[in-house]
Amino acid sequence: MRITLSPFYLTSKMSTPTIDTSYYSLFGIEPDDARRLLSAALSKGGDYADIFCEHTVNNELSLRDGEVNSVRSNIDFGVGIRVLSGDRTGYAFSESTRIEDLLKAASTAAEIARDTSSKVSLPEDCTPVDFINHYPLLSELSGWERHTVEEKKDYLLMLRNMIRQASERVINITGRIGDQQTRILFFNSLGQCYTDLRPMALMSATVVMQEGSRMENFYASKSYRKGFDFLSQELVQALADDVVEGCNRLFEASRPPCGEMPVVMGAGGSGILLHEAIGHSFEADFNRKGVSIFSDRMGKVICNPDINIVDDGTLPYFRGSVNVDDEGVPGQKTYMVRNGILNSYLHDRISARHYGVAPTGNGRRESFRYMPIPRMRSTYMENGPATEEDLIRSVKKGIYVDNFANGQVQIGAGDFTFYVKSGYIIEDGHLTRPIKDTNIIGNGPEALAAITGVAGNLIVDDSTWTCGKGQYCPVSCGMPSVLVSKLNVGGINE
Amino acid sequence: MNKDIAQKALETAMSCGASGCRVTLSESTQTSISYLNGEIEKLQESTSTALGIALFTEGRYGAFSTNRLEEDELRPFIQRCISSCRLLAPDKCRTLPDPSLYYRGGRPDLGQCDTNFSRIPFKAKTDILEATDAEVNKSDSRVISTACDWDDCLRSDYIIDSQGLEAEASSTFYSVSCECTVRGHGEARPQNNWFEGSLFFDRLPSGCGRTAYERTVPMIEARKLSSGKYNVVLENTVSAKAVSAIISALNGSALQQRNSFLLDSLGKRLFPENLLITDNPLIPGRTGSGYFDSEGAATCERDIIRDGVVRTYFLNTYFANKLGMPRTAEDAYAVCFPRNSGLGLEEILRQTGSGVLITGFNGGNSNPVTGDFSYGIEGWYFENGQRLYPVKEMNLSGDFISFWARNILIGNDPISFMQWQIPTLAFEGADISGI
Repeated sequence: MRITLSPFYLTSKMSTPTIDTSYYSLFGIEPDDARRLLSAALSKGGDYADIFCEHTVNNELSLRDGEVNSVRSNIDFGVGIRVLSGDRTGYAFSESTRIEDLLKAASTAAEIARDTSSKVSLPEDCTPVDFINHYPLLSELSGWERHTVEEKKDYLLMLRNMIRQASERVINITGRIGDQQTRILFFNSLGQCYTDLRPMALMSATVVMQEGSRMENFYASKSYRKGFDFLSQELVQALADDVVEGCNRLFEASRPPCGEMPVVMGAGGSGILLHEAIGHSFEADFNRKGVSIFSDRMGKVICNPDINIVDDGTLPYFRGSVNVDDEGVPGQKTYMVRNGILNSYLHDRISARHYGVAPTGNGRRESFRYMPIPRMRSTYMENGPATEEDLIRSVKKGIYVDNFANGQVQIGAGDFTFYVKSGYIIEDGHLTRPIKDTNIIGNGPEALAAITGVAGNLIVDDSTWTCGKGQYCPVSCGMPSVLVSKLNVGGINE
Repeated sequence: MNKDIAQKALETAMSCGASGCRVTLSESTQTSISYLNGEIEKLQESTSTALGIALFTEGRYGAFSTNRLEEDELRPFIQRCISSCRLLAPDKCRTLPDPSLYYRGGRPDLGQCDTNFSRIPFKAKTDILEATDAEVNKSDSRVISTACDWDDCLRSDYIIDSQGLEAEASSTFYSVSCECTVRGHGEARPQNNWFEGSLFFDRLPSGCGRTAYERTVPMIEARKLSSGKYNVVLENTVSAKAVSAIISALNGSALQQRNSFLLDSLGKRLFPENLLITDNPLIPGRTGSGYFDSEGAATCERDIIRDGVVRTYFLNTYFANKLGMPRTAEDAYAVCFPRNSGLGLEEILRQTGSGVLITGFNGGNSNPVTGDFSYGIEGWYFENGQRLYPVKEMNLSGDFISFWARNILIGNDPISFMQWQIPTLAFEGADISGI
């Protein structure tokens, strides 16, 4: 099951939250304490300071050898204090919320400032940040902490049964349900504050299948910012179908021929092309430092005028969505490329100030242990005029790819890669034999300019995409089917 | 480190009904400093404490962790953990290790911890960063940016269990890195980096900035080769890629789940008959050395591959029980190649003749069941042992068994501070896709 963008989702239940004052007692920090800490953080100068309080509970339940027989849980609790002084950042965190420990962290963060005193005047009151909740729990009963191992394990056993029934080739199944509930309390020196409840859920399956002496494996996952209602028979069936169909296809597959060739990228997970080829290069910290290949391209034509590329924190319940980012800026939809022109970088507060623009809500962090930096949210290309059939039909010899494992990019050179788990050879406009296990490499600006066709079948993929940039963040990616006229396909010399 | 917290957690778990329990208390203190173009950009200091609790309850198992260490929070947390475990299916293979395997202490210091860690002044660290930045040739107008990072860490682990295990270890590590960005052709801004590390502050080498600059500038002229079969030399900075796949495939989890291309390989000659790969975590002063693993079992030197034959699987207690085999080690800690050609990189290039020297991987992955791999690469094309021009944006593909069968040379030049001591490796006839 893949979730497409549709009006249903865009009009789903929303609410406008205010501060949840129960978070004050959860963290033992009242607004007056926050003001004292901000004052200490700015005691040696600086332009801005913030306090990020986090309480996260993670649970993981595993299926192995036919039984649900392992559970993991983790509690992480702490407060990060940050001071900005121009483009410089001082940061410290404390796992204790005793005021003396927090003041020590504030003092450490303050060391970054070079002035003798701050010119920042702290507002007397904190004003809640106004934002839309893009992942409201359906009810109080939906919160993960209300549900036990007993309730979750039935879904893993259901997954086991569905996979076993789907193929006699299956010799091993591992499954996993992960849930996370994060509570955030935030204050900054602009007098802003917010509380945010961030749920996250995932379910994954790995199968190993055997036919004669040949064995193959396949992994599939689903993830949303949802509570317990994430789990359903439909979700489990979709996951079982994905993993069984994906693995079965590999038995017919072989390595593709290698070299440069046209590549049709199927709708959905192909969004990894955007994430790696251009998304990271649009993150404004790289551009501010002049190390991105797009550093001098703002306002210039970079691709076909039919192409619009978005980084969107507002897709309801998607993994990459953010109500408000980790420095107090509401989640929003940002057009990085509009009509083929580079329209906006992805900003945190530092880069926004550097460029003299408003922050775009991309200041994100893995946890209180990290300072926020510009990160993607849900990155996708909007629909184009073609059909997927048109794109395939136009290729004489190339490949079609639709399932991916991982990707990487070199920001300055612009060289990106993504690993293709499965796809097909295209011969004379038709999909022929399946292929597998090939790395594709290209150059971001060249690949973007080489997109010669965009279909109208956008899918935002709901797999467990996680982006690493020195710290990890959940993201989503999506794409309609596109034709890239030339990419380097890793394969075998024929 | 407040060991009472660990002891209290163990007592609480047992009093709440656990039939077995292992508790690990970890503390770490870190400093990170970033310089951008000679100016301080980021500063971070932090101290973390985490408690890990492995619970064995009526044949059921769970692993839990928290940094909420106050007693009024810890006890209900442990009670909830035990309740969760009781809802699982029993798994008789989940047990604590055989106590006879435990490390019992009394061995000489392995030289993993710099006792001066807390006394290193902040200025000494920023001085190193400034010196590193200054090593980059700033008179070169092509240089756009230099980013230098300092990281240091003191980590301590204390581990106890309900069978009487008690062990502790501390280690330090210092590292400095430099990334250079230069103006290339068109809009391209090639980057490269170098890093140095050490367990001890006063043994941290200099020269990081100069090496980063020297590795970056040539990449301006990088190009693609024609697709074809080439000899490849994996520089010691990246050669672990060819070894980590073997180690992963010999891991108990992969083997037990039949998710390994080295299934049923124990005792079989699958690699070149001269190949010797060992794991030796008992060498004093080497990164990664330690007397016990995360289950408290004593470590030892062991052959991984000898004479091309697979000599061990990496089995912790659970997977040893699952596979009905003796427990070995959880993982490979300090891989090394004791039998090698005695040659450094330049001589390996000369003896290999022509091919591609791989100095960096860019993405890619492998199939754990088949051993098929495909990785993005960059580096140098060389002929007659001489580097002719840099190359990039190509893929190296194959499968690990066939790849290792074409291993022709093993160098003697592992990077001294790396946990795995993997030297330069040369292979013939590899598939490279280019233009």
